[in-house]
Amino acid sequence: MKKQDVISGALLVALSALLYTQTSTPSSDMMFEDDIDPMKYPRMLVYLLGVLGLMLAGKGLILKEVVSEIPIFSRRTVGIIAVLLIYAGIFTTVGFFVSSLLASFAVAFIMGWRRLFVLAASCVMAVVVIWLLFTYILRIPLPVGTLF
Amino acid sequence: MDMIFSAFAEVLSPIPLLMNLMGVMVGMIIGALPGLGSVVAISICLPFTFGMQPLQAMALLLGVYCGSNCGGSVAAVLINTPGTPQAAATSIDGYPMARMGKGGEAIGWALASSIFGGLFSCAVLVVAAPTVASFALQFGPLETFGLILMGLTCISSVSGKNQLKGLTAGVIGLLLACVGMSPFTADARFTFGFYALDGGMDTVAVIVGVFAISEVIDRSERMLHEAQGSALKVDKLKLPHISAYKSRMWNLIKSSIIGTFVGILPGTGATTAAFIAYGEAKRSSPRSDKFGTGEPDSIIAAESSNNAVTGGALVPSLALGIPGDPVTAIMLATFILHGITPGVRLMVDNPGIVYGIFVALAVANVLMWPCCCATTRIFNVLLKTPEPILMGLITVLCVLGSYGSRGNINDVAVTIGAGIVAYLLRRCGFPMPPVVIGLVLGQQFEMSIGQMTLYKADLGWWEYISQSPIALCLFAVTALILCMPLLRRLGKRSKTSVGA
Repeated sequence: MKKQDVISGALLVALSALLYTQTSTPSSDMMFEDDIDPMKYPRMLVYLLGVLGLMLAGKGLILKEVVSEIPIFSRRTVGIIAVLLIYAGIFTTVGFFVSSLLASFAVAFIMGWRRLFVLAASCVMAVVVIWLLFTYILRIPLPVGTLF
Repeated sequence: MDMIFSAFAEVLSPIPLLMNLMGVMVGMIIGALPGLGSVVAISICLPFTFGMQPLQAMALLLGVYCGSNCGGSVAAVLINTPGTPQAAATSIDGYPMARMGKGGEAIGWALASSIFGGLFSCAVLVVAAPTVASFALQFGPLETFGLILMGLTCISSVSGKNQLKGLTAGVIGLLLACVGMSPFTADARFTFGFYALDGGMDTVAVIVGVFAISEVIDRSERMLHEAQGSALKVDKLKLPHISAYKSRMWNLIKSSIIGTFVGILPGTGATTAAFIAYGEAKRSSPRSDKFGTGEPDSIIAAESSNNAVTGGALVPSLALGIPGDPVTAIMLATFILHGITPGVRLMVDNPGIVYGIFVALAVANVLMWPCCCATTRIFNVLLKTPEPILMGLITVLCVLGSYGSRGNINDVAVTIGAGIVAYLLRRCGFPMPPVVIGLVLGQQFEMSIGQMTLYKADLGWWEYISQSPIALCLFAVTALILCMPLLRRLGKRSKTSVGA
């Protein structure tokens, strides 16, 4: 049994069931008989996703297990995902400069870079260059937080 | 012709030219870094286009596209690890040449062939795209539906061995395109009560998440398991003398034709082109016995074909609005970002932009020469850039990319979410290009279904479809593309049974 396929197939079926609940709400703007039902096309896609999920899970039951030497979840990947989520969470509250500095530092550190001075210097330099480029050359305002 | 001349004047003015040059430079640098590739390079550069005019933005991205193709071959030659998948065939003979101390010569062959292939495909693009586009202007809703359906079938060809997972990824892309208000009524779909999603998923935010963020997460663990080859030193790029091409000219032209043709076919891509051309060169070259030991014929075939794909892939994208691969899907998303609607009317409504793209692509190919000469020395240093620091920087650029397109923090959440989900899907063996193709074509597809339903009125479906020979042809081609893997398998089986 190929566990990954069975689990992903089952998750896709669950996702299609969840999405189906969203398509079963009555449409508000159907004024004429020949109007297009806005939920019809998404509903068909949801059915298709469910069927494909079932096929994938079924196929996974027949196939042999393939063991990858690279784990899907490791301390590194979980760490990177956590940094990304925190980065998205604090991006507007603490501002671009501080959040980006922390995020780039944390990503490189989790990935194994331990020369902290070089890391800090390169992160500061990169973030300053990006900030200057966006603010003064491209004129795209970046979020400014409470600290900077 | 007037359009071409005015496009030349516009592209060769200082700012678009500078953007093109910077694009080639950056593309070469990112392309040379193993594991990143053209799609990630373009995703990273996307945020820098937000404040630009459409033509400047396209000049930058086209530069990145061509530059990354060429940069990938530098890594292939110097460290035997192709920077981009399409450069894999280049390393077969490029690396042995570099080991013989002819690294500069190998990069020279690769560069000259890339430039020739790119310019050849540009010429084809200039002739083919307007012809195809003028024909496509006759299309009504039914033909448009057939066309988009045909575009969606390229999901099957970009899915590789796992068709079922590719199809599932394509459906996920189509569902993502449904998020937000319906194009026909004011009903919100799949928003789960979040008003922020009423406007739909930002295509750029999803693309950046799917390709770049998922790559960052993936590399974090994968880099521990992959050995990085040590870079061979190269001091000076050495372009081959024109007389050296005397006996190799036909190989160069043939490989460029293969690359351009493969590029036009939806969903095939530069890697396929490079290996087809390599195989053909090996079959027909008088020096085929030297292949694998440092023979320039092999580099010529691989490089001219993989760069010829750039112009070929733009033919269906510009003329019909159908992206053949993830790179052209991002290009079409960039059009939308700059308020230009891709599709069959693109060449009529925005001829200046389209002709500007033709010229910018040609100029980008020419600019590869000075850029490669300038960067050859720094490649030795560049290939030693610590990956963790690079990944930290890419993370920041990705978040900026998604935030900058609309200045909306929800887009950052979409990017991170898409990145995490894409990482999980990738690890379970789902290909990612179908998600983007589904997302880019999804809204047009739904729109064409709606229009078709209204135009059909009381006619029966068969009666309606049979009125249009173009639509019938498109459906037949779609069916043929879908059946192709099956036919190929049957062909192989019959060959094996005959052999037995």
